Amino acid sequence: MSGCHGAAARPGPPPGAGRRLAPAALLEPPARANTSPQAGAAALTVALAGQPNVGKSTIFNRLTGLHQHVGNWPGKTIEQRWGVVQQGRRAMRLVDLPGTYSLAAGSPESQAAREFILHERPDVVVMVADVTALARNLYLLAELLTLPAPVVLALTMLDVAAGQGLRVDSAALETALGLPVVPVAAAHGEGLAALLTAVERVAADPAAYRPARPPVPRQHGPVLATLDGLLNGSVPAAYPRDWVALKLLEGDVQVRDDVRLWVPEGRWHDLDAVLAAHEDALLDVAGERYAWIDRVVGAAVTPTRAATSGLTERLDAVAVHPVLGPLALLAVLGVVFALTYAVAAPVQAWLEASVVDALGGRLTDALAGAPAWLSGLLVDGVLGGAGTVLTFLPVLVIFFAALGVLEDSGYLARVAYVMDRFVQAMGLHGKSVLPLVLGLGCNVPAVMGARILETPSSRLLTILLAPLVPCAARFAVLAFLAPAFFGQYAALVSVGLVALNLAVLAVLGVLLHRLLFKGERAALVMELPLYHRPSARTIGLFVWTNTREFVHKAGTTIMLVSVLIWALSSFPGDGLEESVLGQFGRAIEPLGAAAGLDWRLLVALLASFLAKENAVAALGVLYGAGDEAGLLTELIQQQVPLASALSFLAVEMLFIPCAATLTVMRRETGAWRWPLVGAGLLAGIALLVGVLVYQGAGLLLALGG
Amino acid sequence: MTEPALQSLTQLPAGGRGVVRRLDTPADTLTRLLALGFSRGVEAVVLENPRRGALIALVRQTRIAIDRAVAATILVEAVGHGSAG
Repeated sequence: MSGCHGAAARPGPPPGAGRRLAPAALLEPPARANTSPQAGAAALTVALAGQPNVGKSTIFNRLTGLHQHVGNWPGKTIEQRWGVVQQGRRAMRLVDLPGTYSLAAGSPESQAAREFILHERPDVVVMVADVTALARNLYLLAELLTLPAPVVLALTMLDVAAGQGLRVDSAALETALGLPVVPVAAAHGEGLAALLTAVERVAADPAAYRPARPPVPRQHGPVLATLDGLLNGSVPAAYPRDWVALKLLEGDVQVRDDVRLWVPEGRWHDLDAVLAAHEDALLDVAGERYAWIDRVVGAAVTPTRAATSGLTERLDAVAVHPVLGPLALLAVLGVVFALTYAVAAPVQAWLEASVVDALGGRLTDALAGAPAWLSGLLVDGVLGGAGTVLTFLPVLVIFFAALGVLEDSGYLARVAYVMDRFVQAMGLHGKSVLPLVLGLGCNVPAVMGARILETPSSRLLTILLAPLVPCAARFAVLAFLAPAFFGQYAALVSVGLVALNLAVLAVLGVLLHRLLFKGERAALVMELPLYHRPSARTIGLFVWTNTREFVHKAGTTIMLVSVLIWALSSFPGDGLEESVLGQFGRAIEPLGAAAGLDWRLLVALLASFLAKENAVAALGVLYGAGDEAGLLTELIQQQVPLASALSFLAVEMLFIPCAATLTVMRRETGAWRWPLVGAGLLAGIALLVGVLVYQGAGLLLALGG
Repeated sequence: MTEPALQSLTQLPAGGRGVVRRLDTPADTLTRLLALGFSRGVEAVVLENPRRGALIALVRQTRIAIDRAVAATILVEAVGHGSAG
């Protein structure tokens, strides 16, 4: 896979090639604009709610198909998806609320969900419930029922429940809950029409909607009445007062902060006094909810035999085993790598040879009469950038397909569980291991893959650490230069350098965790969902939306950087030596002296910013070997001292992330701040390590010889 | 108060069962435990309890991985032969 972004310095396809992958229709205004072109004035807004892993996205994907819009929830880093569903003559705007186990404050997902319902007042909320764990699912329903929006319940996984020996009577459930209950099998599209009909019926006659509501604990009834009275006249219209009172009693931090701002100072003291006397009410409220839920479930679910979950039990016997679990993970990662090398690498090579190089050749011919700078700009700068974007695609597709399968099947949660104890000290979530390890192929998807992490701090930490995973492009540099410099010791040196990278990663992880996040880490409390067959549709969409986003959002920046680097290394004059980049390298030569790096080695490092393997090509130019590998080997052996060579390779392995990685780091963190901090840190660490390696090696060589 | 002997979830062996009697968990983590199916009076089955690292419990048909420190705040009354381990 040496060509991770190997086309960088070579010609590429026409500039529009990347953009064609992102149809204009998919780039529309965010969900809050209720004025989508397809949605008429009478369009219904329907929110899709549910706990994670219940098949909610399968339903959303089935209903909206490719007519999906992806954005971010206001003020949050969670993805917001919405789409339009045509139901007869009427259009429905379907908003996919983030999957959340409850509506309690504490996670950005639950806050986004409840804020949407409170402030946007959807006409109907469709809650998706997994019947294999109906009681837990109905906890979210119990919370939704306290909000001002009618709910329709969609039941999923009925086939799985039947296999487990559970019979679910949806009519009985409907009676017990007093709201429409529709069984669906989203993978086959069954029940979706009935679901939409139920939504329409509820929206058409809201007055007829009279659901059962979970009772509040008897001993807390008077307290709620007191709170309600104290809140009278202070609560903004968007918030139902009884909901605010209940959340206060539950100790909801967010609502507490809000109420403090709403009520006069004196009133807050009264409220606070009441709350202080009922601090542990949450346990009672939750207990009462589950008592109600257990009655409802008892009426609707009958075990036909002793319940089992055979497949999950059998797979977990290996997957979460303290010894077998990590081994199984190793095997899974091995398969993903094998796939990447077997499928992505040949496709990349083909793209480079048959598409990028071929188009570049034609363009060079076509521009034969034009000034050299124009041909250079278009072929090396613009098409070079587009070629980089293009050759990333095979790796991205395989990476996201693998991630999608692992997540959709339920295995990802096991990875998190198994790896938790190993990465705890770094403040990482066990799930971080997956993008980081798969980052051995390429750091770009590793950074994008950090999305699977729920907490912003683990996400940021994973993104900052990802560039320290040696990627295929750096392995390619190592594979060429280590033998050239160190002959029979090449393998030993390579292994040492990779180990150095991983050691720096671990140390930096621990330090950043302590300094940046003060060692805070959300304790692991995580559902391990039942395993199930991944849906091709869900994975296809996952791959499509992520790849499209890379091309659309990062593609432009990569092209610009490509043009910029081309200009810096081509002007003024006509060689790298005389260019701005070359002169800059000479200017900072004193900086490299302690690390044994002369200006040529520094320029090669800078040139590898666009793509790591450019270092080799740059050395070829700087040492006057052109692209003759044999000659370059000979020349650098003569001219680069061993200690400098070792220092150069160590710095190259640790140096600032490549342009594409930095671009996606900026995309994922929303600003340039973190990518710049990361690049600065790595530049500093690389230089420091370079100095240590150079001085250390010099000392050893002096002693030895 | 004549409470039966309580033990923490971490003290149950794999396969051990217990009825949750007390949740002395800090508020933010407690909220998550409740949403995942825990409540006073519910039966929890310990599925995995390695010497180090998180354990796995089955509560209301849900498998939940729980940090050891958190599991230590969940106090149960052992059921059947899932006696103290």
